[in-house]
This record gives sequence, structure tokens and C-alpha cells, in this order.
Amino acid sequence: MLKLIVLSSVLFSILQADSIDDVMDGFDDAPVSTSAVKKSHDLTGRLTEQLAFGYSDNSPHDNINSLKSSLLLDYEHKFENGFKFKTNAKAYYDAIYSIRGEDKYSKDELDELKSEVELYDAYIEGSLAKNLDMKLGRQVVVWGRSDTIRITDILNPLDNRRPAMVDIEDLRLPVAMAKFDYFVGDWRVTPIAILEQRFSKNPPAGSNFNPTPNRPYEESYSDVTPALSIGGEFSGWDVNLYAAKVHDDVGYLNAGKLKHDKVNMVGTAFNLLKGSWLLKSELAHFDGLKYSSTQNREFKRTDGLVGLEYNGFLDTIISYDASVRHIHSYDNRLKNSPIATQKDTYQHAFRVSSDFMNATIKGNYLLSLFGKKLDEGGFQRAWIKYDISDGIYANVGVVDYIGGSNRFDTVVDNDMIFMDISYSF
Amino acid sequence: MKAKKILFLLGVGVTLLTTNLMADEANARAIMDRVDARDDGKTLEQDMLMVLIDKNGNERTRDLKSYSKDFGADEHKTLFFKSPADVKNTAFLTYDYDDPNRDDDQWLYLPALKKVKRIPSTDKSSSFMGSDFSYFDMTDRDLEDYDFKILKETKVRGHDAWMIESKPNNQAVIDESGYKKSIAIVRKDNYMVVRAINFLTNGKKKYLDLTKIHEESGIWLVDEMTMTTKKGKQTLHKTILTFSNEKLNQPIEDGVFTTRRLEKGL
Repeated sequence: MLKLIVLSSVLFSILQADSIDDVMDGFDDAPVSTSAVKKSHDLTGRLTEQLAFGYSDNSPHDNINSLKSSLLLDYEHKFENGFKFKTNAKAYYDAIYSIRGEDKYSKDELDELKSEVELYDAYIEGSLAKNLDMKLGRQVVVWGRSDTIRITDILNPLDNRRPAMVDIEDLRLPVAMAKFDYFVGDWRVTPIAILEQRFSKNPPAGSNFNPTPNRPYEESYSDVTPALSIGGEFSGWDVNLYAAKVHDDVGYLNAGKLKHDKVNMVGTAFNLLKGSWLLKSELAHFDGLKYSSTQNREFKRTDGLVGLEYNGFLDTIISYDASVRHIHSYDNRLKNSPIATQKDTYQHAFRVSSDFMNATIKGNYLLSLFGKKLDEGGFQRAWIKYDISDGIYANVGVVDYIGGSNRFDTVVDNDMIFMDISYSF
Repeated sequence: MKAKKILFLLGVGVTLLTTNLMADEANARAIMDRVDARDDGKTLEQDMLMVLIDKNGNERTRDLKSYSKDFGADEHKTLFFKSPADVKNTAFLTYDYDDPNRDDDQWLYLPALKKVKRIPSTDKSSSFMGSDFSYFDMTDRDLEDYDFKILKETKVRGHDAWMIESKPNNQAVIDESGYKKSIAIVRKDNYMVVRAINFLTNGKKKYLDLTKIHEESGIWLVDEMTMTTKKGKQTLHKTILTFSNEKLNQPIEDGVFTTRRLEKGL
């Protein structure tokens, strides 16, 4: 019996040793060799070829409706005193207008979408003192916490010409500002002077996202407007308080002109961390809003958002944001404009992003819906980003526009498949 | 009488075996305590080259600058991506708290979003920046969560070493790490884990190999290490991390570990 136990133990030890040695063979003793890293320079850029295919049979926006070549150039230089200059510009040409015949498109669409050269960032930044930073020039300043719904993020206009089709890095349009950051302990005080008044770029008249024949003349402004942010960052939570007097980005029609009168805004944003959960909230109050159907009457509106982000699944981030915009002292005439403005406008955004194959493939899904019962339209977008090799990547995706209200019923047939390939250098 | 003798011998055998096992466990734990207590410096600034190699041999490279500093028992780390161009200026800041009940604070600066974003703690078994290292691999393990056993004594690259098996003693750690057990090879002369095999719950194995190390002011630093994910004998993916321009225990301003610095970049 004892012999058997000893024999078993010896046999077990030998088997275990064999098993361990077998596993140890998995180490690769070949010398490590890798190709040299491509160093990044002051001047970098990206070449992109993009194709969009429309499902609808609404000529000329059916089949392949965009064949865009674009070049982004980015230059940054750091001076010896620590100051940094950065600028980037993007130029694109959409060949589809020449291929299909320019006479089939509205002048407004050709002017807006056929080609463009746009200066994005152009700023100089640095520290004026130990606790004081300055950033002067065209720049993007993002307020708020949500990545999908804008409540307090009001300082930069958006490129909305092809809704849901614009890459996030091209979405916000930089504005000339003088921004100062003063740091006191865990707090940051940021006064801003907005030196340039720009407004969101909307779909051109006659395009598939704006079937109206003419676009109203948009009034321009050259004044300087103030904004202030006070933010605190602490372990597990952070908070920001905002105040601004800015031109209303949406504007209202008055005597055939699109006007952007000034509004006062105060707001706050808050993050709370708990394990793999991040709770986000934003609140903004606007005073002085005007609407096309009520002309010179001024309104107050309060916008609120709560959101959750979860990072606890393998290589996956999930987020859900819900918001409501409430107009105080509501006037029933607001219902009468072509796109009715409701007393309460609800919006929901659900986003999933997941990495596969060591982040070679990134899958993304975004659902954005309006309505208290999610029944007033919106869109969903699913896309896959594939890293082909260093600096070369491709996106393939689909955008589905969902009807349910006047605003989305007019674009519901614009569903699109898009694909692009980019080379960064 | 014969039966009594056998039982007696068996009892002695089991006792000896158990005593031996307990001694082994104590020895293994003592070694791992030394590994855990090994001085890795108060501050470290270094360049880091990450090469990701897929099963077909295709390489992707990431060039980074990393800073780390001890703040008492806590550690703050900042990572800046220098290249390739499509991820340049991306930056990552983490406050890794010693208290296991306190959530780490983490922020990410994405140039595309143009804002610093607070990010909740990831699933620890998630890949660290697309590499074969997981977030769990980048954090210190709580030794109380493991049972240790010396498997045998061995040699690695000519150095005497212990081969130590560690098994999580609770399911929560298995769920968190994704590892059902690990075998570590600890060099006897410097108490450094120079090789390790992590057995994943999905049947794959991850091989950690510190291929180049050196000693500086009594502290051992890694110059190059690899992590290879395998299924059976087949390599699925491999990551090579190379460190250079290491500055150990040199002063690093606290301001490097702030969101202000993430925005400004290198």
C-alpha cells in the first residue's frame, strides 16, 4: 500500500515536472528584434479617401453620393521657453459632383460641399507664471461631460452639414479665443474672451439633408463675448461651474435674416466615479432665447442631462446619456414653426465601443433618439475601424436615420453606407 | 498488526508530507514577500517603445514617454504618446492608490475630443493599449489573495531561480484578473520575477519574459520585456516593450501628474 502511495507520488511528481517543462517550452529564446520606430515630426498629416453610398433613389443623392479626397496638415512647434504654436488645416475635394454633373446640384450645395479649405486650430499656448496658462488663437474649448449630447458645450459651433456623418475630430469648429487658466490648489479658474463669432454649419439648401430651395442670409457679428469656467478636480469626483454671454448658435428668422442674438448662460457639470461606473450630469440655464415663430419675445430655457458610463466589460465601454430641454413660460406659437419647438425636448444617446484583436479592430455603435418615449426620430450609426498597419486605417459603417417627427421624417431616406481609408504621416 | 503498522507509516508519511507542504508554502510566500518588497525607486522617467506583433508577424509600434512617482504608498503615472502620428499627443494619467478599497483615478486626453476625460476603472483583464499586457499586469498584486507553492529550483539565463506557482484563493481575484493560476520564475540573486506564465480562464497562456534587465544604484530596472499570448503551441499575439533613457530617482515635478499637463502635452 505504502509502496503504491510512494510510487504514485513519484509518478505524479515526474508527470508534473514534465508538464511544467512542457509549459516552459512556450518561452521563445530567439533574440527580440523589431523594426525601427517611425519618429513623429513637427509636421504631421493625414490623407483620406472617403466614399458614401446612399440607399435612397432620390437622385442625385442616390448610389455613390460622395467621393471625397482630403488632406489634413498639422504643424506644432515648441519654443525653448515652453510656449507651443500649433496649427492645422484641412482641404477636401468631392469628385462626385464633377462625375455626376454639377448641373444636377443646387448652387448652395456645390458651394458648401464640393470643395473646401478650412483653417482649424491656430494658437499659441504657454505658461505666463507658475499658476497661469494662456492659450491665444483659434481653438476648441469643450465644456461639459457628455460626449454625445451638448448641454453646456456651447463655445464652439459644429459642422452639421452631413449630420451623423462627420468624424468627431472635425465636428467642432475652432473659434478665435483668448483663454487664461489660473490654478489654485485643486481648482482652475478659466476666463475666456471669444474673439470670433462663428455659427454651426448646417446642411446647404437643396442637399439631401435640407430640401428647402433657399437658405436665409445669416447675419454676421464681430463683437467680443465673455465666458468663465471654474472647475475643481478631486479624487473620485469633479465639478465645473460655467457662465457665458454668447450669441445663440441656433438663431431665429427675422425679416428674412437668420439672427443670432446674445443669450446669457449659467451651468454646471459634475462627474462621480464609483468602480467601473462614471456618473455624469450637466445643467444649463439660458436667458434671452428667441425663436422664429415668436420673434422678439425672449424665453428662458433649462437643459439637464444625466449619463452613465460603464467600463467593466472586457475591452468595452458603454454609455447612456439622457437629456431634457425645458422652455419656461411656453408659448403655443412655438408649435407652429416648420420644425416645432416643444416645451420639453427629450434626447437619449446610447453608445458602445469595443476593441477586438488587440485593438486592431474597434467596433462602435451610437444610437441617438429624441422624444420622451424615444419615438420622435434620430439616427443610429454603426462602424468598424480597422488598423491595417502603422498609420493606415480604414472605417466601414452604416448610418440609419429614424423618422418620428418633422425634423427627421424629411431625412429618413438618407440612410448611408460609408467607407474610408486614411494614411497618417 | 500489519495493518496498524501500515496506518502508522501512512500517518507519518502524510504528516511529513503536510509539514513539508506547509514549509513549502511558507517559503514560497516569504520569497514572494521579498519580490513584493523589492525597491523599484521613488521616481522613474523613461522612454518606452511598444511593438505589437500579430500572429502573421505584422508589427505596429507605439512610442511613448512615461513618468512615475511615489506619493507615499500611492503611485502616480503619466504616459504621453509620441508616435505614430494618428495617436500623437494622446496622454494617460493614473493615480494608483495603495488602498484596495479606493478606486484609482484615471484621465485620458484624446486630441480628437480635445478634452481631458475622466475614465472609470477598466475591467482589469482588458488589454492595456492593445498590448498583450492587461491592466491587471500593470498593477501590484495583493499577496493575501494567493496561495504559493515552490514547484522546483531551476536556472534562467544562467541564474539560479525558484519556480513558484501562485493560485488565487478566491473566485473574485480569478474573475478580476482572468488568470486561474500563474507560474513565476524568481531569480535568487535579486528577487525579480524574470519569467512568468499566466494561465487564462479561457485556456490561453500568457508568457512574460524579462529579456534584458540591469542594476542601477542597487535597483534592478527592465530594459526589455515581452508578453506572448499563446493557445497551445501557437502564438496569437506578442508585445515587446523596450525602455530607454531611464532616469531613476531624479526629481519629477508634481505638475507632471496633473490634467493640466495632459492637455499641454510633452
